[in-house]
Amino acid sequence: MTDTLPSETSDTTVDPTATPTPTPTSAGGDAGPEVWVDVCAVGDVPLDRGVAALVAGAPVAIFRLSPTEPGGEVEWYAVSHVEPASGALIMARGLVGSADTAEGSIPTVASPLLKERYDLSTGACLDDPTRSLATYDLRIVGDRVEISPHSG
Amino acid sequence: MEKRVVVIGNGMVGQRLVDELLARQASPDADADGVAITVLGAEPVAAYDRVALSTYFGGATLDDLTIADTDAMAAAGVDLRLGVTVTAIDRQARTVALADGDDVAYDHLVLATGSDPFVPPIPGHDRPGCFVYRTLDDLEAIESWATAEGRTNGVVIGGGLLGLEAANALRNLRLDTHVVEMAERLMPQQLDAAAAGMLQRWVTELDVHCHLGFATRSVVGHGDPDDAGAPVRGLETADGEVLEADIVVFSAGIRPRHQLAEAAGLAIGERGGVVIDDHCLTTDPDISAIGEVACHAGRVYGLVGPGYSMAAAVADRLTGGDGTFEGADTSTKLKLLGVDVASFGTPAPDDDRVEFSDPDTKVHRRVSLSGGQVTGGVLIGDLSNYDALHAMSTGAMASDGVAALVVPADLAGAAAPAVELPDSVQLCSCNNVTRGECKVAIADGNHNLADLKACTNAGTGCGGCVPDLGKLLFAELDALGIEAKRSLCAHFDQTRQELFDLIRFHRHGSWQEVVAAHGRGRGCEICRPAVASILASLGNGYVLEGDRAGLQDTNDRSLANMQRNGTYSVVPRVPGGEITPDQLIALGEIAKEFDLYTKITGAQRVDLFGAQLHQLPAIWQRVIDAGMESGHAYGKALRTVKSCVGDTWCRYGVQDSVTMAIDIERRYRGLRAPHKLKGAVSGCTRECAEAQSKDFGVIATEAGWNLYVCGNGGRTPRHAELFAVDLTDEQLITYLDRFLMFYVRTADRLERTAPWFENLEGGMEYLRSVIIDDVLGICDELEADMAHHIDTYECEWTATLDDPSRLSHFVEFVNAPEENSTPVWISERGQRIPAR
Repeated sequence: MTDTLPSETSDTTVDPTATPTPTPTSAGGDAGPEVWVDVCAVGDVPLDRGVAALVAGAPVAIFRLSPTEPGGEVEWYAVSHVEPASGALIMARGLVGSADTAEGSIPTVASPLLKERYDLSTGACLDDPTRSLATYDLRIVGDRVEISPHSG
Repeated sequence: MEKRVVVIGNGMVGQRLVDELLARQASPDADADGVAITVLGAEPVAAYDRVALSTYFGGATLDDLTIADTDAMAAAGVDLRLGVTVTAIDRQARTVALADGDDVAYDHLVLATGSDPFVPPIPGHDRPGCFVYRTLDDLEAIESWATAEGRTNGVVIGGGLLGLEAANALRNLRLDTHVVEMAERLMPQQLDAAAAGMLQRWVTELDVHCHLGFATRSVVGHGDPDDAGAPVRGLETADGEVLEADIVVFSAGIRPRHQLAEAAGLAIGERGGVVIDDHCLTTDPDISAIGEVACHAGRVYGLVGPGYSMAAAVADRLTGGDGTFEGADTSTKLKLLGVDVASFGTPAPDDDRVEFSDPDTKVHRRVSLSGGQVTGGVLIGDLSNYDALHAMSTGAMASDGVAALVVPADLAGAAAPAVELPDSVQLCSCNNVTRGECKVAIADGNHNLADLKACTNAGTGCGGCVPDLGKLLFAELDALGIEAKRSLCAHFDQTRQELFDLIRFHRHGSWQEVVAAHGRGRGCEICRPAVASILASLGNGYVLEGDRAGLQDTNDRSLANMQRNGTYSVVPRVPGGEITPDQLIALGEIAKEFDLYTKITGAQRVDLFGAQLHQLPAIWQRVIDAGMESGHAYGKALRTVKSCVGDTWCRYGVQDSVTMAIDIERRYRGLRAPHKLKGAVSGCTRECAEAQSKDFGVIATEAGWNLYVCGNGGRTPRHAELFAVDLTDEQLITYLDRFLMFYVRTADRLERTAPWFENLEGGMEYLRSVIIDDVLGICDELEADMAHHIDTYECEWTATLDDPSRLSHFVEFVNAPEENSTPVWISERGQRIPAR
């Protein structure tokens, strides 16, 4: 890890054996007690282009994906901003997209460095099973984006 | 134990033998013992393409002509000794003696010494100004004599195949060129009077004067007629008339260089040449002979094709096979002075003939038949039916519908039949590759031209068969039910070229429009940047505007080059590599203030490393204040146009290469393309700007500029190829406008110009026909698209800094604009680098 943060409070180490938690747009899950951090306005996150945020000191990449078909729903995802191969804080600057798999179409983000693709909903790497991204629960309250600081 | 194979001669055939031996040794079923190869070459340079020698004066360099891969040879342990002369063969001791006193031992010796030009013993044949035409040294001697002050007239003695090649060389030296031939027609060995007459029409149109039935009595000199050392003034005929000549080139046939073999007691043919059997063995079973020095069944072959077949047979035998050479087809298909000429088969004088001659198009076709079977023929000016007629002459296919292949459909009253060529028909004559072999390679998965060429070697010699190869490829892919085109990715069925045309036609300006109309899903890291690039090439303004920001690949997204630790490098544009002291000082001060690692790039620019995302606007503001602009190092776009100092400073320069490089770089700056684009301008043929390794390279000549295209450095280096010579400034810019836009429009994503060119069906001839002759009728569009780009260009960093809303791209954390992560740095050689 070659980056340190101004406020060194979080552990961004990824446990590849952890079961990733889906990140619904509603509050959720059994990832821990319900603590939500207000991060930014919905409008601060451009469509299909990630932004990074500090959530309780942890660098998190937030994505707001446009619907894949007319009239469909906007989808939100939050994953670790730390690029697993290099340790650099850059995942929010990766290209988003969709990949067709046996389970259907999944939302992806590609590493800005060597382009490994990660499933935004689970954090699993599609090109290298030894890597994964931590995922975060995210919810929209009014026009605010809130994230739970406990990574999945 | 390894068999010691010594090859005397490093010409085209000798080199082919080495290549064949190495290829066989590399194959998995090679003989374990192998061969140790020593090559003894008399010329100081490794094997080069003698067939293409006349292109040397058209701008081709030694590198272009060289066919020997000396690095691969060295890696394979070949002992290549150049500039050495063999003085004798000792057959008892099995050694050859070198002029420097050294002896080289052999287990098997191969003579590949080729031939010497024949110089008829007419008086004055050795005057200063008389030359032969065989080696690069000959060419250099011809060039230095011909380009001296006041020499304007050149005469070639000999109107055969080699003579016309030599005439092309003199023409390229801008001499008023004459060909004298003793017979009453050109190419008397191959052509009948009617065909030769048609060839003469072509040749005369190229301002080459033909003098037929011309008997040279002597070569006369200036001044005292008895002074044998006086330089040449002309050729005197039997009638006492003199044809003025400042230079004379003898090209009156060749004689096998068999002297070594003769002195060693090997049998020599009646008309010269070392006698060989069907195994290419001489009368000594430890010695083979191949190429123009060999005499097989009483015949010496003056063509490279049969020489290659002999080389293959010998290589096969030396590696345990039983290859044979049982004579060769001397059918030839070639371009002489740019004219298509072919002769095939061995027709007899009393055969039936089907003949067609059209003085308007200067096309002539004659086919001879015996008992309804094609026996041979001649084609001038149009070779489109050569393959079929040739196959009929060898019996590879039935002689059906011959008249329709000779006479145009409107005269024949019937359209030419659709001809299905058999697999045994040769497709590439340089490398003896059949259509069947190409079909197998296609079936094995070589589904584009570049792969197919690499796999089969077809089309890698003279390149003349590449259009045929392309046609075969697409026909086979059709037959295999494979869509020949490649779709961009899972989200778009179109090729990049098709998508480009659709976006251009529909004037789409955003990703949403493009994906809704032509694609599906959310896209991916392949199609999103490809669409971004197309939208940018078509002049849709600021690349981070609207939904295009989310399409940009890593570097374009931040208008800087991301490095391994997530920080960026900054590269200002330095057009042509010219930079003022104040600009250099400014860059130094910026680097010091932001603690940026500084390195000079290979493209004559300065790269500043270690900038964090939030620092980019401040750094660029300083760069722009110093009078510089974005260098687009982050984009698949025009990078740099490198230059040497040219005639402004250099003693050798002949044009102002710096000004031209700056003009070109400014003209095309910011042009987004399927991949990055690099150019260079050299001020003379010394080529200090390395223009021939660029996508487009310009080299100054006394008369203007030579343009080279589609070169590449990097992983797969490729020399740029000569596109056009002696261009004016205006011609150069026009061709570059069209060339670059044609590439931008038609290349695949991330395809540099070099592989794009490799895959371009029709090769250089096609490219010239599009760019120079406008056969597609698109040159106006290409120029208009380029003009639009030039008119709408803006420095992307100026545009970013001028609009505060665009600065949000350069904030690291959306909820903490004041906070920034801090990479871990260490110091090395006085500069800051990422911790390892």
